[in-house]
Amino acid sequence: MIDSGVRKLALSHLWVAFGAFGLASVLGLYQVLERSGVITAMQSPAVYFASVSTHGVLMAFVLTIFFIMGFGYVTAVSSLKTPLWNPAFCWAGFWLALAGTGLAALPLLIGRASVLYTFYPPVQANALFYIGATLLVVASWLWCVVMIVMHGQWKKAHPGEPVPLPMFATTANAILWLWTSAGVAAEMLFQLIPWALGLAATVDVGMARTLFAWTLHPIVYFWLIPAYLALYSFVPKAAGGRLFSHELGRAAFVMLLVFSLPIGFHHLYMDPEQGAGFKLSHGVGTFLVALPTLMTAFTVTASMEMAGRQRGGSGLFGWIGALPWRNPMVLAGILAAAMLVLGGFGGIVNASYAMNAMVHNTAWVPGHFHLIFAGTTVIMYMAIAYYIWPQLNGKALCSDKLPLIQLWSWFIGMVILTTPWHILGLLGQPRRISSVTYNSLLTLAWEPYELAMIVGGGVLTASALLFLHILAKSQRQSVTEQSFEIEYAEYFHPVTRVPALLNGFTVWNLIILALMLANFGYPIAQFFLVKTFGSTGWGY
Amino acid sequence: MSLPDNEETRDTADFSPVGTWTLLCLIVFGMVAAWLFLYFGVFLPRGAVQ
Repeated sequence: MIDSGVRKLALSHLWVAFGAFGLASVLGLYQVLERSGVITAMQSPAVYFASVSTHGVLMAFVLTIFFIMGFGYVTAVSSLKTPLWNPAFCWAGFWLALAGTGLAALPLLIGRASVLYTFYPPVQANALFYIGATLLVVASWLWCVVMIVMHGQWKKAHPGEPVPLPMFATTANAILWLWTSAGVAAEMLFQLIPWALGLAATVDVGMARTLFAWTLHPIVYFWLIPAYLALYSFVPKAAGGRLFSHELGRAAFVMLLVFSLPIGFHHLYMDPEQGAGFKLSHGVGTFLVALPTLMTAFTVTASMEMAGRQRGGSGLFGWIGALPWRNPMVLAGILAAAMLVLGGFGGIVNASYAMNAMVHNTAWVPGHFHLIFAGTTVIMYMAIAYYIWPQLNGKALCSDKLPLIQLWSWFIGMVILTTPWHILGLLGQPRRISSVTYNSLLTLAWEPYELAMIVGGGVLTASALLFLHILAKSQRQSVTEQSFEIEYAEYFHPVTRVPALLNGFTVWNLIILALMLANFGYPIAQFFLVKTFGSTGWGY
Repeated sequence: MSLPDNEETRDTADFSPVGTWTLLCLIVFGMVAAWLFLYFGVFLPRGAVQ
């Protein structure tokens, strides 16, 4: 049972997350319109880059951090069946995160932080942006502490018992985020903030990009793990079945934690500051991180197959049609998997050391990450919201049909948006540009795809607004009887005990430490060992 | 959405995810084929960077 305090805490986080998502979605529609050049009066590089930066920060940092924190609190109390540890500390995290978001928003909205969500120097923002973003990350560390403490307390009170899978995954994510965010925190504290405040005249761009690469790839798994948690713990239950393998799930979350960290240099394949050997090592690691995703695909699909066959599905694929497609969680799980396949393929191309040259810094890259993040991840966030909203509010959803329309439209819009985006990349369109109207034969060939993207953006914006409408209307309904329990999937094979390595993280943290030292030790140390040259700020 | 109750469901004790294996093999095969097409059909024909 989730008590009223936790419900209020979770809803506060989720509303900030989804409010940011709504605003970012509207900005996304503006961006596809502006870039296409269809409406001449709309053309403004300054406004475009302010918008893209705000869109990226809201989606990648505000939506994700607030959602993961709010959902994490719900997961902890509902899966461990214990009270929330230190609610005042949790609220402090919320208000600190909100203050950080507000501080970062001020320069973003007036065009003083048009540095995109990657804020690569030497493009410079107002110091308030860096300070606000840092506060947001620091606030999320408070959440990590709560998750780790609750995990530890539960294990102490239940010696030898397996930690419930949802909490195991959430704790893995908290640990992953602490490791992950250390890179960007170091960049902020030791480089960007002193530089933006004028305390340092120049910034070492190579080191900043290296530190951000530490964060940039595992952050994707920080976003994705709640989605995977739902695939393991909610989708089989919603489909009427059980989870095929509890142990494979645990192993997948451990592998996501370990393998996703030392691989960020595949973002730097074209950068001069790192050697080819380290890039290759990170590239190999990038392929390894596909393994836990394949394990997840197998376990979740097998769970669905079991459910489909229980419902009368027969033959090799008859179980797919027998699944309850009208259940939002099941539908979202299937659509998320479809987008993961497409986006995962794009990721394999990106990670291919040689072939990356073909798509590097082209429109292919935002096409890829929109499919993985805005596609797979966000559609599962939506499904999670539909699943827990009744339990958090004590009221049923306002409609059975609207969530299905919303999820389908999100999927269709994402496919319409990202397919031409990938093609544009292959046609040579660079990313991070505000206009494509050069009237050359090359850029004229891009126009049909730009127009298709407007359609995709329009469908997605409508779907995002429908999502907010459903949540708001459901919350405003008169109270109906509703359980405050969150139910998780049972397991195909009863679990009485699991190996200690799949029930804790001490050994894995030591392995991560060794891997991080091997993969980032010298690449960072070199900036202190050899003469490098700093850059002055640009663009602000 | 109502689900069939236990009496209506089939025994899953001997469940073997043959459909899952087949589906995943098809997907992995498709991804490998698409990668090979991009590498040999698009990337290499473009030649070296000029």
